[in-house]
Amino acid sequence: MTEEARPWASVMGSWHIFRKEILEVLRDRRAVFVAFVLPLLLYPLLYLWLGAIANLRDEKRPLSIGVAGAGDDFFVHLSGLNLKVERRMLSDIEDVREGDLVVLAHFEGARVTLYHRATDLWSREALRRLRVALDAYRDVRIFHRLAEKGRNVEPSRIAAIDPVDLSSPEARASTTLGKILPFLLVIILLTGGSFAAIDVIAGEKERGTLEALFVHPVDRKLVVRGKFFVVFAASFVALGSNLIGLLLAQGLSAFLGRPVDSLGLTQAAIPGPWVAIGIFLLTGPLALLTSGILILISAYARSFREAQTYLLPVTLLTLPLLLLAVAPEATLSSAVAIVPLANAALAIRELLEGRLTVVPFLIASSTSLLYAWLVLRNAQTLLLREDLVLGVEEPPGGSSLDVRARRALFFAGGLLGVLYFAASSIQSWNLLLGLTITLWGLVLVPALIYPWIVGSPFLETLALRTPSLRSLLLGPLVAASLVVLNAAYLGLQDQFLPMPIELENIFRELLLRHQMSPPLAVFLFVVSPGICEELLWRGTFQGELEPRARPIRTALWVGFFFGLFHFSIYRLFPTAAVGFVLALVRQRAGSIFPCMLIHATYNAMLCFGLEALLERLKEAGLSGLLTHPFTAALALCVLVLSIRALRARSLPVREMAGG
Amino acid sequence: MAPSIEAVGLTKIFHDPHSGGIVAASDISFECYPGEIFGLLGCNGAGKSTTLRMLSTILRPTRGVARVAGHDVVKDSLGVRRSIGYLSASTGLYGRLTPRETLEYFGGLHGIDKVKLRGRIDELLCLLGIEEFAGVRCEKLSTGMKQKVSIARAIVHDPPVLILDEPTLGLDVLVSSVMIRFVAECRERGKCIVFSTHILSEVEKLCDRVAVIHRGTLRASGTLKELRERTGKTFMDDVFMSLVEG
Repeated sequence: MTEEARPWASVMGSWHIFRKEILEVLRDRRAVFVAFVLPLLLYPLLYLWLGAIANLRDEKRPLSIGVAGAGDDFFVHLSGLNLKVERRMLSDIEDVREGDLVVLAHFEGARVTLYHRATDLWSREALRRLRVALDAYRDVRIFHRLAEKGRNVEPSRIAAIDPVDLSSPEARASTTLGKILPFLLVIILLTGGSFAAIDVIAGEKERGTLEALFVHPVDRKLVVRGKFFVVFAASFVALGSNLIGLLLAQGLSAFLGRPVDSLGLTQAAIPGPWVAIGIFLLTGPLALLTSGILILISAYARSFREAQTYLLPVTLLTLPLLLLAVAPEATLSSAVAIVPLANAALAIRELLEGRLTVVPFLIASSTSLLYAWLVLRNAQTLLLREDLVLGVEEPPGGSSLDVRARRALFFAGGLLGVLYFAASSIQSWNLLLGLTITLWGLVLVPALIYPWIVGSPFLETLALRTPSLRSLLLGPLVAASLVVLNAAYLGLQDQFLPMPIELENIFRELLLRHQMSPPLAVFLFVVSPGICEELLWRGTFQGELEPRARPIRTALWVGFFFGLFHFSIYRLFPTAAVGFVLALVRQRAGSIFPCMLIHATYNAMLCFGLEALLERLKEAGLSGLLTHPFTAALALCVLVLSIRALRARSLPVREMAGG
Repeated sequence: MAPSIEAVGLTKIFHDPHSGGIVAASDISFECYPGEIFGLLGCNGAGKSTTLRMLSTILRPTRGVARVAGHDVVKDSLGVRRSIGYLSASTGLYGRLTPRETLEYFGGLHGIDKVKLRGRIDELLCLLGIEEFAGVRCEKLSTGMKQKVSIARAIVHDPPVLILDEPTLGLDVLVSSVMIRFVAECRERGKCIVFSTHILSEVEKLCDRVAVIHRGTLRASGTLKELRERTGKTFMDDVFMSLVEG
């Protein structure tokens, strides 16, 4: 449809929509309170609460303890611990129960028994102070024993090591803040803008107001832009509220003369003007990106609830990227500088630590802007989709899964449980036989039986249809792109979750230890997973979910379970991503055979080709080529284009049955 | 006289990845003139809403052409939207805006001059009897009041064509009668109105000409008299059943 607008009209149109949206957001008292007012109160209240907790552990409060059977030399060590000490007998144990004493320490030879009440805060505190005295007492006794035995030990030889940190409290606090603040920033931006984002598009679809809006002469792009800036403003205001809240807590801390928290964050100096400008310049593009992501979710969802269900997994997906930024060894290399969210978070951290240089700063902020623009464009395209604009008219399955889909999820979950215990037992008994039994028995048999049990059409559920030649030709290309992306991702993951060396070389170990012949290795690691795992996950599981849930949601479920199926935290994300891509392939190609081909090729490349390729590249002095961000970007482009090029076979047109 | 609405062979097929395509409307053709109420009569899911959504540019036709007030629904969608007032049972209001703010917002989208818009809003609020509630948030209004605000929203720019998709659905008798009176008044002012419903009494009361749609296809169209003559039935429900089953 022709929806062109002149530049000035475009700005005015977006402004008109922005004004109305911001008015609506500001009139929602709950949203305003949660996103903007609560953070202002939260941090000072948190400070007071933490202060109250600290008061509870006030070391100045004298505590009454009893000591039975101790020599006079022990009492010397109790001075300065603010304990009211009385010599008692073991029979006074009842006084501890009744609360007259908080602890009774009974000395019997080399053994000391501490009678206390774990349910009593002061009893626990007295126990802690007593342990300090007991440690010192023990050290002195050891020294005297050694001296008695004729060993001339200098007291300094057994003295405790006492490290002295010369960095200032402000510098220590800034380093801690550098790790925490970027993480907080992204989470606040995502949560702060989430309500506005969901309300202005998904909420409007649900209420029918978006349909009303689109029958008026307004370009849908302007609508998205107007709403996008509302989310951006809401995110930024939420961020500002949080930062003001932190500053208020800091002011309170200075006023009361007590650090606000155990990390001493409020001792961190307020950043200088250049650092503050730098943070602002990095946070701006970051907020544009998070707002774009939120708008994209909202544009894709058909209802408020559906958008909320997408928000949690998206937030969880950002966590590995943010963990990358808080890892102790993380540095803003040119590779990391193009990773969305992690780049800005790490740049802010380096800025606070005073080690950010200009080039990574520019790359990080410009790539965040680029991603924001791409995401926004995508959101605009989504709002041109008729099925997404008319939010209330959902396809089969809609936002809630029906009984059969839920049953398929239970089946997959239960099967994972069985596989976890049964497969590991069988494989620990005999690995090769165990692998064969796992794949051809425990994986394949349930995959083939399940459709029969629930009465689903067998061939259709498993997508056992003749594939198109194009889908088969594109298969190896998809597999190769996945291998490159896998290598690039694992390179990044190594910075925050390094894979143990024994897992890295597991395949070579297996081949060597079991002296496996190449045909057997191909059968076990290439053919069997390609057939059995595909028939289970892209066949039965996807086939049962697909008619009852939206395609993208189905693919996400399939990817998630496929990731879990590999039972490894180190491989969870890459295998889940492969599972997701294979699910898309089945949807686009309409057949499971291209998935089998891609899976087998992918495994063959990982098991037999990747190591040799890395060796060759190393010899040629190109060892970093495979994991270079530009290679990964190229592989991603190839993957996206290949999947787009897959076409579903033409399906019959049928009359609308009363709908 | 040139028709205000001209639909020729309008077809809409929704893509469904599992079953192929679903034909929601097939080869729908009709014309509608200024000062005329044209009724689209059909059961729930017959294809009435899909047809009206194609005319109002919310949906893009898979095949066929349609012109509204001289503008092509595909090639000049903004032109069509400037010329229509669209109201359906599913279109909602912004709960946190007042009726006045709602009208200011939609009037602004049409680029109406502020002073002129203020006058137009006062006129509409008075016409529909909602001046008293002009400053109350829409979420606090009764269903009848909300429907009146929706009507005002649809006609704030005084469009020559009105597309009303089951506007009385879910309304009580009193509010329905307000709506019916409003539609009749619009005809008196020379507007072209397409009105979809499955309530036969509304058709008999309002429509100059009627098209019966069933399972996405147009089964018959004409004046009520013509349809009665064609089917040989007197009562409207018999006429409808005869056309649908025939």
